[in-house]
Amino acid sequence: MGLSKMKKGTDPLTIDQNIERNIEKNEEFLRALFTDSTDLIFRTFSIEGVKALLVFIDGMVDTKSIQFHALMHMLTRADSMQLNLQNVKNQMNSISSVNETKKMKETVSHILDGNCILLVDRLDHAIVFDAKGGERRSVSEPESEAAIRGPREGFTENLRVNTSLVRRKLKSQHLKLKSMKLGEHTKTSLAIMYLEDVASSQLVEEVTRRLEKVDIDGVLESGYIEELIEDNPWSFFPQIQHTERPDTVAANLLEGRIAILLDGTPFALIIPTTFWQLIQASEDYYERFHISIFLRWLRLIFIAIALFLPALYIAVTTYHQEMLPTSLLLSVASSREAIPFPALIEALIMEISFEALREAGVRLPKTIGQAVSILGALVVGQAAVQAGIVSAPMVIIVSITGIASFTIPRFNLAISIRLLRFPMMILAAILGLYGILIGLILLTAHLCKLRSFGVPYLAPVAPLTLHEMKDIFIRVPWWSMKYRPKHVAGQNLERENTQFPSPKRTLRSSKKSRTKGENRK
Amino acid sequence: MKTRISNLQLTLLTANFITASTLLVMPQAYLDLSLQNTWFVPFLWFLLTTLLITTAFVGWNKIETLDFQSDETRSSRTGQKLLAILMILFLMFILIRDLRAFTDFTGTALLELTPQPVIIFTSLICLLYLVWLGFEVIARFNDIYFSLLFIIILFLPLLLLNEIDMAKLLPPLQINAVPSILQTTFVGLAWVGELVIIFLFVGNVQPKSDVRRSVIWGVGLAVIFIFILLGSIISVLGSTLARYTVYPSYILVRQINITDFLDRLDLLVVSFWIPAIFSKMALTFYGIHRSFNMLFGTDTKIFLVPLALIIGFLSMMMFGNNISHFYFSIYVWSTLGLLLEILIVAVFMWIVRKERLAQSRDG
Repeated sequence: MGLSKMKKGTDPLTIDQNIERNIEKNEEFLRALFTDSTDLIFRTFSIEGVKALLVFIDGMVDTKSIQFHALMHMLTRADSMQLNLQNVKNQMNSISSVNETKKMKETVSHILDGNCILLVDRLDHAIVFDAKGGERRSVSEPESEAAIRGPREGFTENLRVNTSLVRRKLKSQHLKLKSMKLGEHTKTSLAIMYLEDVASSQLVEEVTRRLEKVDIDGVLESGYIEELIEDNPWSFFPQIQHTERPDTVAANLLEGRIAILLDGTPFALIIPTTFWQLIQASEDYYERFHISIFLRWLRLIFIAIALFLPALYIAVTTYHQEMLPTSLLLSVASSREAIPFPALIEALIMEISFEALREAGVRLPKTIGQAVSILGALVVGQAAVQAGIVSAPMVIIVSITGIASFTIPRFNLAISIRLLRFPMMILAAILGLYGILIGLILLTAHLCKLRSFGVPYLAPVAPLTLHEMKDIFIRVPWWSMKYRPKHVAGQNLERENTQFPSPKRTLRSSKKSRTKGENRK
Repeated sequence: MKTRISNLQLTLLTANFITASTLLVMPQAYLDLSLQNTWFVPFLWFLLTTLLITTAFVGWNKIETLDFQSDETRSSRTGQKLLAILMILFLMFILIRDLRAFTDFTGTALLELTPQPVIIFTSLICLLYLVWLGFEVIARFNDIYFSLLFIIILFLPLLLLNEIDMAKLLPPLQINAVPSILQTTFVGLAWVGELVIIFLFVGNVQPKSDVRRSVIWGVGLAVIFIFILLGSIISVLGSTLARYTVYPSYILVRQINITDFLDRLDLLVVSFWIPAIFSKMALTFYGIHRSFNMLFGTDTKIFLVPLALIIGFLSMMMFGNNISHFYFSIYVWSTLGLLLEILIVAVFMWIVRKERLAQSRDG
């Protein structure tokens, strides 16, 4: 049926139309469908007098590949063989991946995916050449997750490149990749990756089920997926981790988690996620375990500082002055003497100013953004103190709080903590330390309630599982990490069987084997 | 979805339920009775409570399940309703008493000028949220805060090392101290026996067979907790001073000073203790809610808000002042509480027996 006969408002892609044997009709249909799409190329040529047509989107295909491996072959080798589907598909080209389809809907979908379509007169199939190309960003160091030690490659916007980066880390036949497309208009490709012999099959099914339920016009970033499939969308806290690093994805797959990679974004999603994962960095596993333990405790302390320090300052200066040692109390009192605002207002002024400066620094070009942030903070802070709007201790408190929030490895957790600082400050102003405790209780209760795909958010601390605490507040050495986390891995919990590394043991064991060998002789 | 907790969580819930409010209100009463020998009393509580638990769980391993939330329980509905009524009475007293104790303490230590109703109703809002989230959340919440509190109490003697005077524990365990020790044991038994609340939740524990041992472990942890606290109070403050102090535990913590700079760590310790007492109050409130559901055969949260208001008003009106509250906590509760606990244990044993008979008949 020609397009002119379709009712107005009918989406032609919903019509289950087959490829016609008459190439003219196919061409007419495609040209009508892609009216005003000047990047769609129709390359007509003939193979031994038979009309053929290549259709592709300029900029999305590797034109050299089409030229040399498809077009040239067909033009030079066609005279020696019969023009049928099998020969065209198998012998008249040297493209690495070739498919066929009878459906017009699939043909259009392939064109839009960046493939090249070959239509031949008198053939009722379209041949699909997978020769995707075009300019994409190359693999580079991830900007949001820089590391001192560890791999420096990060994901790009190309899904195949990303899946190949993970495959290079996990060369296992058990690494599975399920594909899906989401978004009515964007038809964004996504890949669900997991290790079949480690991940729970129920988890894989649940992830697949939730993704299949997504019904949206377009998916441009993994953040869309995150909000559409998480357990508690109203919570401030992220229940799905995102990362730009293939090594992070590989490490999480080895623990039984599932990764979702999306075309068009370098951020992969990792499911399920617990709170403790969000305070871990990939370097924790590459550096010596003593350093990792120190850094983890540092991060925990600074999370508490980022969340509670301004609130504690307000509570102490307003309600519990007796908590401060006398000399410090006199110093704080003298600096606050001339300030016309109560501690809460002073804190809010400074915090909001610093948040604005921080946000402005993100939007500015990198070369001047950092300088503006720092200078702005210093100048504004100094000027505010000299003008008598805020006190010097408040500037110090806000600066330390800002620095503390930067120690949190994951940005999505850091921003949640930044947001929660403000209700804590208000509670501190109303009820002092008791108000902070009320806030802490409500926050902890909320975190205890959260789940990420069935896994409690604070596991294994709550519910308390003592034998799984080896990678939470401390990171035990690699030779001691015998088992995968039980709350995540569905099967195959034993991950290693390495002996304690020691030259004495190695020497003893080699002596034993030598003695055994001599006895056998 | 059925709520499930582990045996470790049951242990920590039991331990917290015994210690959280006990350590605030009761040390003064215990010290007043048995002076420097009070540190010995927790071991007697352990023996008596272990006996109580062992008796209550006779026949427990012979039944498949006893989940009061499900319809699978084939035991007598009358028994369940009787247990529910007793639990409502028992837990209401506990919650009203604890809420008032907490409010009085907060008004003394943290917020001297804030009106009592404000503290009560902000606490109730918090409790309501915790209870609304469910039993599993309360158990997880307790895991965190009781563990932290326990670690702090374990380090308490170390922090107070420069203040400890072992001479204050003398003379130890003389024969003429026996009556006073027994009196203290009696007064405190009702407080320790409050662990009978766990009978409402034993059906939610997996695996079922380790429940008795987990509860005994919980009592053991609580006893260690109370022993360390009482021992520290006696050796730091001395029994003569502590028996006339309203909150000896708080005064004890105020003695911590690490150099001249860090001498107000009491508020830090209180910051870990307050969530632990909220955990106990939340569990009590949840127990009342579950008992109402058992009584009316429903599975609804509709009772929670009016219950919270009633409890708030009762905690303000039932006690005219702090003295009447202390009188109730020390003298009235030691008898009333013990009576209710014995009745609850008896009804529970009856239910278990009925369930065993019903299951053996069906099996």
